[in-house]
Amino acid sequence: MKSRKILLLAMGLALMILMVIVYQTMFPEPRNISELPADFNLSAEKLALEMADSDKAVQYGDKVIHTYGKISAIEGNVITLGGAIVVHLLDPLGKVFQKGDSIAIKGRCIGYDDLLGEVKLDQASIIQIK
Amino acid sequence: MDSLGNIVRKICLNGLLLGLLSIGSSHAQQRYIDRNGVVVFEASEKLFEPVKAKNESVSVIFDATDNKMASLALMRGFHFQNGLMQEHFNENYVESDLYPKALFKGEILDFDIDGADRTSQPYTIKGVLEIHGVSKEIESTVQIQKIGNILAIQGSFTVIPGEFNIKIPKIVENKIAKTVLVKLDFKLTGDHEE
Repeated sequence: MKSRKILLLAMGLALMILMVIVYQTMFPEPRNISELPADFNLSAEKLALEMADSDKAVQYGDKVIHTYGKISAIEGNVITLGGAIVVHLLDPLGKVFQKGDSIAIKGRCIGYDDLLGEVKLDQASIIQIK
Repeated sequence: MDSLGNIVRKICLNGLLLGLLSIGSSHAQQRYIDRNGVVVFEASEKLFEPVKAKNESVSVIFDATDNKMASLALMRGFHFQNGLMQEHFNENYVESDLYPKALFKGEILDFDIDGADRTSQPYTIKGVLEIHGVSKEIESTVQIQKIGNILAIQGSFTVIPGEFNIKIPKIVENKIAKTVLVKLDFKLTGDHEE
Protein backbone atom coordinates (compact mmCIF):
# COMPACT_ATOMS: atom_id res chain seq x y z
CA MET A 1 0.00 0.00 0.00
CA LYS A 2 2.76 2.33 1.03
CA SER A 3 4.78 1.85 -2.17
CA ARG A 4 1.62 2.47 -4.22
CA LYS A 5 1.07 5.75 -2.43
CA ILE A 6 4.65 6.79 -3.14
CA LEU A 7 4.23 5.81 -6.80
CA LEU A 8 1.02 7.87 -7.08
CA LEU A 9 2.70 10.81 -5.39
CA ALA A 10 5.69 10.56 -7.74
CA MET A 11 3.40 10.35 -10.76
CA GLY A 12 1.42 13.37 -9.56
CA LEU A 13 4.62 15.32 -9.06
CA ALA A 14 5.94 14.30 -12.49
CA LEU A 15 2.64 15.37 -14.07
CA MET A 16 2.83 18.76 -12.35
CA ILE A 17 6.41 19.31 -13.53
CA LEU A 18 5.39 18.30 -17.07
CA MET A 19 2.47 20.77 -16.96
CA VAL A 20 4.78 23.58 -15.83
CA ILE A 21 7.24 22.77 -18.65
CA VAL A 22 4.44 22.66 -21.24
CA TYR A 23 2.99 25.94 -19.94
CA GLN A 24 6.37 27.69 -20.00
CA THR A 25 7.01 26.43 -23.54
CA MET A 26 3.60 27.58 -24.76
CA PHE A 27 3.53 30.87 -22.88
CA PRO A 28 7.14 31.92 -22.40
CA GLU A 29 7.96 35.01 -20.37
CA PRO A 30 8.97 37.93 -22.59
CA ARG A 31 12.72 38.48 -22.74
CA ASN A 32 14.06 40.88 -20.17
CA ILE A 33 16.36 42.96 -22.39
CA SER A 34 17.99 44.80 -19.48
CA GLU A 35 19.27 41.54 -18.04
CA LEU A 36 20.52 40.09 -21.32
CA PRO A 37 24.09 40.57 -22.57
CA ALA A 38 24.38 42.89 -25.59
CA ASP A 39 24.70 41.18 -28.99
CA PHE A 40 26.28 44.31 -30.48
CA ASN A 41 28.14 47.25 -29.00
CA LEU A 42 28.57 50.28 -31.27
CA SER A 43 28.23 54.06 -31.33
CA ALA A 44 24.97 55.78 -32.33
CA GLU A 45 26.62 57.15 -35.51
CA LYS A 46 27.88 53.71 -36.56
CA LEU A 47 24.51 52.09 -35.79
CA ALA A 48 22.69 54.71 -37.91
CA LEU A 49 25.01 54.02 -40.87
CA GLU A 50 24.72 50.25 -40.53
CA MET A 51 20.92 50.33 -40.28
CA ALA A 52 20.52 52.57 -43.34
CA ASP A 53 22.04 49.72 -45.36
CA SER A 54 19.32 47.06 -45.64
CA ASP A 55 21.87 44.27 -46.25
CA LYS A 56 23.64 45.04 -42.99
CA ALA A 57 20.49 46.00 -41.07
CA VAL A 58 19.13 42.42 -41.12
CA GLN A 59 21.72 41.23 -38.57
CA TYR A 60 20.51 43.74 -35.95
CA GLY A 61 16.77 42.85 -36.10
CA ASP A 62 15.42 41.90 -32.65
CA LYS A 63 18.98 41.89 -31.23
CA VAL A 64 20.11 43.45 -27.96
CA ILE A 65 22.15 46.56 -28.77
CA HIS A 66 24.43 48.55 -26.51
CA THR A 67 24.86 51.99 -28.02
CA TYR A 68 26.06 55.40 -26.94
CA GLY A 69 25.98 59.00 -28.10
CA LYS A 70 24.80 62.50 -27.31
CA ILE A 71 21.14 63.12 -26.53
CA SER A 72 19.64 65.24 -29.31
CA ALA A 73 15.98 65.17 -28.17
CA ILE A 74 13.89 64.11 -25.17
CA GLU A 75 10.16 63.50 -25.36
CA GLY A 76 8.59 61.69 -22.43
CA ASN A 77 10.37 58.38 -22.11
CA VAL A 78 11.60 58.55 -25.71
CA ILE A 79 15.10 59.93 -26.26
CA THR A 80 17.00 60.45 -29.50
CA LEU A 81 20.73 59.81 -29.71
CA GLY A 82 22.87 61.56 -32.34
CA GLY A 83 19.75 62.73 -34.21
CA ALA A 84 18.99 59.31 -35.67
CA ILE A 85 18.61 56.68 -32.94
CA VAL A 86 15.18 56.84 -31.32
CA VAL A 87 15.14 55.00 -28.01
CA HIS A 88 11.96 53.98 -26.19
CA LEU A 89 12.95 53.57 -22.57
CA LEU A 90 11.23 50.90 -20.46
CA ASP A 91 10.82 53.07 -17.39
CA PRO A 92 9.85 56.71 -17.13
CA LEU A 93 12.92 58.88 -16.73
CA GLY A 94 13.93 58.75 -13.12
CA LYS A 95 17.38 60.17 -13.65
CA VAL A 96 18.06 63.75 -14.51
CA PHE A 97 19.66 64.41 -17.83
CA GLN A 98 19.30 66.87 -20.63
CA LYS A 99 20.03 67.51 -24.28
CA GLY A 100 23.72 67.31 -25.09
CA ASP A 101 24.52 64.78 -22.34
CA SER A 102 26.44 61.70 -23.40
CA ILE A 103 24.61 58.53 -22.55
CA ALA A 104 24.89 54.77 -23.03
CA ILE A 105 21.79 52.59 -23.34
CA LYS A 106 20.88 48.97 -23.96
CA GLY A 107 17.74 48.07 -25.90
CA ARG A 108 16.15 45.88 -28.55
CA CYS A 109 16.57 46.95 -32.16
CA ILE A 110 13.20 46.95 -33.93
CA GLY A 111 14.46 48.30 -37.25
CA TYR A 112 15.12 51.25 -39.52
CA ASP A 113 12.34 53.74 -40.18
CA ASP A 114 13.13 55.06 -43.66
CA LEU A 115 10.25 57.52 -43.54
CA LEU A 116 12.03 59.62 -40.92
CA GLY A 117 15.52 58.17 -41.41
CA GLU A 118 15.67 56.87 -37.85
CA VAL A 119 16.71 53.66 -36.14
CA LYS A 120 14.26 52.51 -33.48
CA LEU A 121 15.10 50.70 -30.25
CA ASP A 122 12.61 49.70 -27.58
CA GLN A 123 12.61 48.08 -24.13
CA ALA A 124 15.70 50.16 -23.45
CA SER A 125 17.41 50.91 -20.17
CA ILE A 126 20.05 53.48 -19.31
CA ILE A 127 23.51 52.07 -18.70
CA GLN A 128 25.50 55.23 -18.06
CA ILE A 129 25.30 59.01 -18.10
CA LYS A 130 28.47 61.04 -18.49
CA MET B 1 32.39 51.09 -51.36
CA ASP B 2 29.30 49.51 -52.82
CA SER B 3 27.55 49.62 -49.44
CA LEU B 4 28.52 53.27 -49.03
CA GLY B 5 26.91 53.92 -52.42
CA ASN B 6 23.78 52.17 -51.17
CA ILE B 7 23.67 54.34 -48.06
CA VAL B 8 24.11 57.53 -50.09
CA ARG B 9 21.36 56.41 -52.48
CA LYS B 10 19.00 55.70 -49.55
CA ILE B 11 19.73 59.02 -47.88
CA CYS B 12 18.98 60.74 -51.22
CA LEU B 13 15.73 58.76 -51.58
CA ASN B 14 14.69 59.65 -48.03
CA GLY B 15 15.47 63.27 -48.72
CA LEU B 16 13.38 63.07 -51.89
CA LEU B 17 10.44 61.53 -50.01
CA LEU B 18 10.55 64.12 -47.25
CA GLY B 19 11.07 66.76 -49.91
CA LEU B 20 7.97 65.61 -51.80
CA LEU B 21 5.96 65.69 -48.61
CA SER B 22 7.09 69.20 -47.89
CA ILE B 23 6.74 70.67 -51.40
CA GLY B 24 4.65 73.77 -51.30
CA SER B 25 4.76 73.92 -47.54
CA SER B 26 7.90 75.97 -47.25
CA HIS B 27 5.97 79.19 -46.92
CA ALA B 28 3.33 77.85 -44.58
CA GLN B 29 5.16 75.07 -42.72
CA GLN B 30 2.15 72.80 -42.58
CA ARG B 31 3.83 69.50 -41.80
CA TYR B 32 2.61 67.35 -38.92
CA ILE B 33 4.60 64.45 -37.47
CA ASP B 34 3.97 61.67 -34.97
CA ARG B 35 6.88 59.43 -33.96
CA ASN B 36 4.90 57.46 -31.38
CA GLY B 37 1.72 56.61 -33.23
CA VAL B 38 -0.26 53.64 -31.93
CA VAL B 39 -1.48 50.79 -34.13
CA VAL B 40 -3.27 47.79 -32.61
CA PHE B 41 -4.32 44.74 -34.55
CA GLU B 42 -6.61 42.00 -33.41
CA ALA B 43 -7.37 38.66 -35.01
CA SER B 44 -8.91 36.87 -32.04
CA GLU B 45 -11.40 34.04 -32.31
CA LYS B 46 -13.91 33.32 -29.54
CA LEU B 47 -12.85 30.63 -27.04
CA PHE B 48 -9.19 30.84 -28.10
CA GLU B 49 -6.27 32.83 -26.73
CA PRO B 50 -6.47 36.49 -27.89
CA VAL B 51 -4.38 37.24 -30.97
CA LYS B 52 -3.63 40.89 -30.39
CA ALA B 53 -0.58 43.11 -30.76
CA LYS B 54 0.24 46.76 -30.20
CA ASN B 55 2.86 49.00 -31.79
CA GLU B 56 3.48 52.31 -30.01
CA SER B 57 6.30 53.62 -32.19
CA VAL B 58 4.59 54.11 -35.55
CA SER B 59 5.79 57.07 -37.64
CA VAL B 60 3.28 59.31 -39.37
CA ILE B 61 3.86 62.36 -41.57
CA PHE B 62 1.02 64.52 -42.84
CA ASP B 63 1.31 67.51 -45.11
CA ALA B 64 -1.66 69.84 -44.71
CA THR B 65 -0.93 71.70 -47.96
CA ASP B 66 -1.83 68.71 -50.16
CA ASN B 67 -3.35 66.36 -47.53
CA LYS B 68 -0.79 63.65 -48.36
CA MET B 69 -0.01 61.24 -45.58
CA ALA B 70 2.58 58.52 -45.03
CA SER B 71 2.88 56.10 -42.15
CA LEU B 72 5.41 53.41 -41.30
CA ALA B 73 5.15 50.64 -38.71
CA LEU B 74 8.11 48.38 -38.02
CA MET B 75 6.83 44.81 -37.75
CA ARG B 76 9.17 44.04 -34.85
CA GLY B 77 7.58 46.93 -32.98
CA PHE B 78 4.36 44.92 -32.51
CA HIS B 79 4.15 43.57 -28.97
CA PHE B 80 2.13 40.47 -28.11
CA GLN B 81 1.33 39.29 -24.61
CA ASN B 82 2.52 35.85 -25.57
CA GLY B 83 6.21 35.85 -26.50
CA LEU B 84 5.87 32.70 -28.57
CA MET B 85 3.06 34.24 -30.59
CA GLN B 86 5.28 37.27 -31.26
CA GLU B 87 8.06 34.97 -32.41
CA HIS B 88 5.74 33.11 -34.80
CA PHE B 89 4.32 36.40 -36.09
CA ASN B 90 7.79 37.73 -36.95
CA GLU B 91 9.42 34.55 -38.18
CA ASN B 92 6.66 32.57 -39.86
CA TYR B 93 3.82 34.89 -40.81
CA VAL B 94 5.07 38.36 -41.73
CA GLU B 95 8.77 37.34 -42.10
CA SER B 96 10.10 40.49 -40.45
CA ASP B 97 13.69 39.92 -41.57
CA LEU B 98 12.60 40.01 -45.22
CA TYR B 99 9.79 42.54 -44.85
CA PRO B 100 10.62 44.65 -41.78
CA LYS B 101 7.90 47.28 -42.22
CA ALA B 102 4.30 48.04 -43.09
CA LEU B 103 3.99 51.24 -45.10
CA PHE B 104 0.95 53.34 -45.94
CA LYS B 105 1.00 56.19 -48.42
CA GLY B 106 -2.14 58.07 -49.28
CA GLU B 107 -4.24 61.12 -48.63
CA ILE B 108 -7.12 62.40 -46.57
CA LEU B 109 -9.90 63.31 -49.00
CA ASP B 110 -11.64 66.70 -48.82
CA PHE B 111 -9.78 67.74 -45.71
CA ASP B 112 -9.11 71.38 -44.91
CA ILE B 113 -6.74 72.05 -42.05
CA ASP B 114 -8.22 75.50 -41.47
CA GLY B 115 -11.68 74.00 -41.03
CA ALA B 116 -10.51 71.40 -38.50
CA ASP B 117 -11.09 72.07 -34.81
CA ARG B 118 -11.78 70.39 -31.49
CA THR B 119 -14.90 68.73 -32.87
CA SER B 120 -14.09 65.26 -34.14
CA GLN B 121 -15.14 64.94 -37.80
CA PRO B 122 -15.21 61.91 -40.10
CA TYR B 123 -12.97 61.93 -43.20
CA THR B 124 -12.12 59.36 -45.84
CA ILE B 125 -8.55 58.24 -46.04
CA LYS B 126 -7.41 56.52 -49.21
CA GLY B 127 -4.11 55.08 -50.30
CA VAL B 128 -1.84 52.09 -50.72
CA LEU B 129 -0.90 49.81 -47.86
CA GLU B 130 2.21 47.66 -48.25
CA ILE B 131 2.65 44.69 -45.94
CA HIS B 132 4.80 41.61 -46.49
CA GLY B 133 5.99 43.04 -49.81
CA VAL B 134 2.44 43.19 -51.22
CA SER B 135 0.71 46.51 -51.98
CA LYS B 136 -3.03 46.93 -51.81
CA GLU B 137 -5.34 49.91 -52.11
CA ILE B 138 -7.33 50.65 -48.98
CA GLU B 139 -9.99 53.16 -48.08
CA SER B 140 -11.35 53.87 -44.63
CA THR B 141 -13.12 56.46 -42.53
CA VAL B 142 -11.16 58.15 -39.77
CA GLN B 143 -12.08 60.69 -37.12
CA ILE B 144 -9.97 63.84 -37.12
CA GLN B 145 -9.79 66.68 -34.64
CA LYS B 146 -7.34 69.53 -34.24
CA ILE B 147 -6.42 70.84 -30.84
CA GLY B 148 -3.96 73.70 -31.10
CA ASN B 149 -0.88 72.36 -32.82
CA ILE B 150 -1.96 68.73 -32.49
CA LEU B 151 -3.83 66.81 -35.17
CA ALA B 152 -5.48 63.69 -33.75
CA ILE B 153 -6.42 60.91 -36.17
CA GLN B 154 -8.30 57.82 -35.01
CA GLY B 155 -9.87 55.02 -36.96
CA SER B 156 -9.89 51.39 -37.92
CA PHE B 157 -9.97 49.17 -40.98
CA THR B 158 -9.79 45.47 -41.74
CA VAL B 159 -7.23 43.48 -43.69
CA ILE B 160 -7.23 39.90 -44.88
CA PRO B 161 -3.84 38.19 -44.32
CA GLY B 162 -4.21 36.11 -47.48
CA GLU B 163 -4.39 39.25 -49.61
CA PHE B 164 -0.89 40.15 -48.42
CA ASN B 165 0.39 36.66 -49.13
CA ILE B 166 0.57 35.90 -45.39
CA LYS B 167 -0.07 32.21 -44.98
CA ILE B 168 -1.67 30.92 -41.79
CA PRO B 169 -0.85 27.24 -41.20
CA LYS B 170 -3.83 24.83 -41.10
CA ILE B 171 -3.04 23.79 -37.53
CA VAL B 172 -3.75 27.28 -36.14
CA GLU B 173 -6.30 28.31 -38.78
CA ASN B 174 -9.24 28.10 -36.35
CA LYS B 175 -7.48 30.18 -33.70
CA ILE B 176 -6.85 33.20 -35.94
CA ALA B 177 -9.66 35.31 -37.41
CA LYS B 178 -9.93 35.46 -41.21
CA THR B 179 -10.12 39.25 -41.13
CA VAL B 180 -7.76 41.30 -38.99
CA LEU B 181 -9.06 44.47 -37.35
CA VAL B 182 -6.47 47.26 -37.36
CA LYS B 183 -7.01 50.27 -35.08
CA LEU B 184 -4.95 53.42 -35.33
CA ASP B 185 -4.48 56.30 -32.94
CA PHE B 186 -2.15 59.08 -34.12
CA LYS B 187 -1.36 62.41 -32.49
CA LEU B 188 0.62 64.49 -34.95
CA THR B 189 2.39 67.64 -33.87
CA GLY B 190 2.80 70.53 -36.28
CA ASP B 191 6.38 71.65 -36.89
CA HIS B 192 5.28 75.25 -36.63
CA GLU B 193 3.90 77.60 -33.99
CA GLU B 194 0.17 78.21 -33.94
